[in-house]
Amino acid sequence: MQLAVNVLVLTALYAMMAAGFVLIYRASRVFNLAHGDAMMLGGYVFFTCLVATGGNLWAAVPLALAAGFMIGVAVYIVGIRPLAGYPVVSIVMVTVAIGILLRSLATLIWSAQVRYPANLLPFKDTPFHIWGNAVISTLDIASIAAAAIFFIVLIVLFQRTALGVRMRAAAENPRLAANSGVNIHRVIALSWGLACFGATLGAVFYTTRVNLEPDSWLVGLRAFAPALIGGMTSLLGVLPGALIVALVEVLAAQYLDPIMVSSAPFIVLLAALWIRPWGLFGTREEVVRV
Amino acid sequence: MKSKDCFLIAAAMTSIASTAAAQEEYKIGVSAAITGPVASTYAPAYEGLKIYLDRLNERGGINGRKVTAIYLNNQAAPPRALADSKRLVDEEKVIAMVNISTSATYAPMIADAQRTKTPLIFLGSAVCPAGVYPPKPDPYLFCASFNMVGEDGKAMVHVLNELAGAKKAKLGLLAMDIPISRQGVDLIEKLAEQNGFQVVGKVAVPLTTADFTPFATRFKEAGSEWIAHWAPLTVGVAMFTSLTKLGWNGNYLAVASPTAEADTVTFAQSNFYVMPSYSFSVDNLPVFKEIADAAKKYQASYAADTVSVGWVGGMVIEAALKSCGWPCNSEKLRTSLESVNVDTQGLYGGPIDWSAGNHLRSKAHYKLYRWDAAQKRVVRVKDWIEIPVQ
Repeated sequence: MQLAVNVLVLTALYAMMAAGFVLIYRASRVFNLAHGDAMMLGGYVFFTCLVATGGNLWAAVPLALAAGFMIGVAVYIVGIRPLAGYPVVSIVMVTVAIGILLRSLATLIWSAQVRYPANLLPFKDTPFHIWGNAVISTLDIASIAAAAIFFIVLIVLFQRTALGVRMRAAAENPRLAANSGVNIHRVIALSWGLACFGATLGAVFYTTRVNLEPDSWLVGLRAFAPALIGGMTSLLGVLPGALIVALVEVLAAQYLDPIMVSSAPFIVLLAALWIRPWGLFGTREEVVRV
Repeated sequence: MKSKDCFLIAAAMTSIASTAAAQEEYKIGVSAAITGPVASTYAPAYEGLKIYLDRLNERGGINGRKVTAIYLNNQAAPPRALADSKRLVDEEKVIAMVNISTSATYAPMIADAQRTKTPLIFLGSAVCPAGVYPPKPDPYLFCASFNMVGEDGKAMVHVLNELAGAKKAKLGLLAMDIPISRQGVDLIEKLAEQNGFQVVGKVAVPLTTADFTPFATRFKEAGSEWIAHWAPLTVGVAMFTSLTKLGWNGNYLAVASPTAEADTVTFAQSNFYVMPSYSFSVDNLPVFKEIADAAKKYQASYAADTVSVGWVGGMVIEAALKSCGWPCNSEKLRTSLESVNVDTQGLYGGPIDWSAGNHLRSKAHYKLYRWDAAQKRVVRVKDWIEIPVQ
């Protein structure tokens, strides 16, 4: 039973972080290699908000999420938008540069010192014993709930609102959408903002459960495996993708040599892409475009 | 005289003057993991060395000459370490190099040290390489760092024997998935089994672990009563947090990193033991006041208690350069290093006493600390435990 809980918690974490890869790819066909760095920066913003508010979680989390959203929008406006019309590979390389820049910025501002945001929280991460002698903690429950709410909001946004329809239209056929009066740049900026919002949400739970340092970006980058397995064009595909990666990691940690934890998701990724190169829920057409 | 000639003469004189000035100073090169993976383990030591040398220069330097240190950031990456060492020995012509970084950066720097016959000193948190051990150390390698794989392992098993008592506990072992950490844990496993411990789990967690709970579950389900780790302390902190969440109530023994004292305070768990080969600031040694003052004066970004291991490195360099006298070159400095005997003022349990047959030290010493819930502070559980260096 504990394994099931571990899988669920890790799925939630990966889903929050991986959603950003898909949101940005759908909107701008860019594989954002700075997404892990956005998660790391989101973590530092959250940490700073916690310090500034004296550990007030109810103030720090919304502030950090809003800042995360704004960072995403700013990165698009400053770093990506000027390259509109350039080959996608150039923009991907720019995301690499942005990632390095964000990492250096984080080290300059906060130093390489490891931070523990959990120690600033006004409560202890209380464990609860559930059935089958399994344990789940407050932060575990909160991370699952946050991931669920985040995805419900995204689905409602895309399926039920006019803005969502415009975003989908811009993702599927930017020229046609633009000719129909959709402000493409605004829609893509919103996607970058939402992606960084998700990355910051993931960072809130990762950093309160593990720690925060400039190299936390590597954890965020690992979330590209769930996105690829699920399909880069499918937001809902992120959920089964995250579940598969989490399941493989948890089983590898429990039953195999833990070294396999690093490589197992990528073995699964290779196998999944070999069988279905466009991902579980992606579309064949998109692969041709990549 | 034409203006062009005037310019050439001025340039030549400036060049001569700057060469003379360069020759009037001791020049050393430092390649450290100031940023990059596990920088938190190395950067405080780099800063400790830097503030020590800044203070030394402000007080007039050594033998009336400044110590100019060229600090380079290798980010724990071997190619960068290679570029650093080439620049330091071939371009900057330093008389000694210092490494404060991961073991992955050693090979290129060692090769350049041997090629150019330049001493290479491992300081701070750099794990002492095999080449510094007695009886026949590499002539150009020296180590004053606090991390020693073999001695750390022996000390950990010694402590486990004392704390676990007659009951030979079920032991879990934790490493980070890097070669040196796995090597350290393999040694602890061997020694622990020789001492009657039952090793019920051995885990090497990857550098990019999103959640430690699956590994903690493995330890808990294996019935580990003690868990020992030889890895950066951040790994231990994350693992212990997950174990606590799962309701594990065993004891945890961690080898130290520079931030160990601060982490122990942050943790505030009395079943989390830390075993450094240096003193924590709770021991209130007079030298900690000096370090704190220097850290404040030179605006160190790391807390005073984390930079002490770099401070020891500064003491060693000062002693070696003093002994080298003036003029000092690489070979003369190498000979001086082989007679270094530095009193670390209690920061280490004994002196850094290098000789022709031992470039590490004759004995390693360890203390044991943990959080005391009643006193609400870190307390020393055991004073210096002596482990002969072999």
